[in-house]
Amino acid sequence: MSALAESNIEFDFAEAYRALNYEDLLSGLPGASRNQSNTFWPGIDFHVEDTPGEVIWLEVKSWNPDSIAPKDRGGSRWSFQCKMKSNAFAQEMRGKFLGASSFFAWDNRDLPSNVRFILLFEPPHQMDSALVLTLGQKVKQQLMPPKILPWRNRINVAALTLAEWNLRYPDYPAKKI
Amino acid sequence: MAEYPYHETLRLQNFTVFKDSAFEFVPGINAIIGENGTGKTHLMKALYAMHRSQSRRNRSIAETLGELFQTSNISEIVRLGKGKHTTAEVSGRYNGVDWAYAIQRGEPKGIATDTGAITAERPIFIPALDMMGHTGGFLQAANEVELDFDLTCTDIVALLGLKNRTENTLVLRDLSDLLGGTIEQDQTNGRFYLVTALGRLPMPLVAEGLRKIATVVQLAQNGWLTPGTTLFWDEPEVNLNPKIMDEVVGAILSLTRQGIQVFLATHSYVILKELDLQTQQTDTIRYFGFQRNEAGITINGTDDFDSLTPNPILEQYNWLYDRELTRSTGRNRKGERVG
Repeated sequence: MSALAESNIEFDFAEAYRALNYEDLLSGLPGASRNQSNTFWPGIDFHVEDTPGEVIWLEVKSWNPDSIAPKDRGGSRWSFQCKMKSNAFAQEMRGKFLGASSFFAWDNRDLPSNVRFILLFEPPHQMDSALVLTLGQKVKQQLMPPKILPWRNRINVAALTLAEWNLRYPDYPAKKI
Repeated sequence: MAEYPYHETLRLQNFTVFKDSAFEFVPGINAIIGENGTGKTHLMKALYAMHRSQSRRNRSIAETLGELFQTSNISEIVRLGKGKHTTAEVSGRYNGVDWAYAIQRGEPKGIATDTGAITAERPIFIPALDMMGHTGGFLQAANEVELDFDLTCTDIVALLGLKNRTENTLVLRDLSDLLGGTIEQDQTNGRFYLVTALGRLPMPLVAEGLRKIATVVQLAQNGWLTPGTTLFWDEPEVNLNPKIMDEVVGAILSLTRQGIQVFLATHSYVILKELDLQTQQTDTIRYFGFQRNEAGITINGTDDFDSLTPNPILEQYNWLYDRELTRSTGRNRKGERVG
């Protein structure tokens, strides 16, 4: 399967060595069911093998204001940043990252030698590079608590927008649907 | 039409780094952004020189320029370069009145003439260098020997020490709260103190960033920072932690809402972003981006921060962001694998 979609963004992974919807890996396992809250092995949206051993774990967050209830939008241009900086968001991201890692270990799959954890997001308001840069640093800090220090050299974390994704990964084009 | 007088326009011809640059200002905040050496401070000094010599007629424009640019030969202010310019011309409009001055090369110290007379409150120029902690004996020393400080430094020390002129009508609550105390001056030695619940702290022992804030608070307290004043503030961010920048920017906006025109030269992204976020629809703000190129200095003015070009501060963040993403994604912006 080369086209994978999450939220309102579709990716074409035809050029990837392998691309999987993470939850498809879990199908049939207890506690995991497609399109339902996966409490057993929380994980990333997509597992993309760029080359063998070089893996992109992709988490997609699209903040399309139209698809969010007004009460959750907060009515403030700060609401997006408040959410991204919150402990709840940090725990969610960390849970996805560690959940996916644990699943691979439990399932006797080799942990990839290099992992690039990419948070792809579309903010509701224009964000300049300074804000995205600090946001990326925040996500990195959230995912890299001291306890997983030994893994640091094998893990890269990036927060980037759809436009930046298409620049960096023209072989895996993405678009809004 | 603004309620208080303000600098409306400025044109600089063959003035320091400027070949021929024209500006239209707003009555609120005029934020100047540019790399080092692009003339940000010179623009403010060009305005300040006229404004100060007009509001204090005891000093000529030539003397004022000489002391502002720390030169005994004001010919040096005339732009260097091809064509061997002999004259620098500075002109503008303040409160509907046109004014101008010119500097001519000439031995031994150049000639400056001015035309047009404006009626104005005494302007305030807060230099990047903190002076609040250095008021003791400073003016006496400046009168006796030639100190290597420009006129903005001696002026700000003089203004800080002036007795209360009028009842303070400005509201600067946030900045006063940040200080955590009140400001007092010892009339015997000219030094300032921060008086807190714990005691009386000499200003040199107060953090340098807070001394900048104390400068603004004191000028509001003694009534010299008052509606109708023009405030020039060179690099407010110096020594200030970004955490308190929201209060500082809030206070600057509060000043403009009370009738003070503000000129800011800054290198700080935090200040600019705070201005962008805190500005309300009724505020007037204009950003000026300065850039040096083969033609000299080019300037772009806009009321929208996001469309400001050139914006060297954001360009630096773009460069950092690009390098960070290249490292973390393993791809450059052409999609090529690196590292």
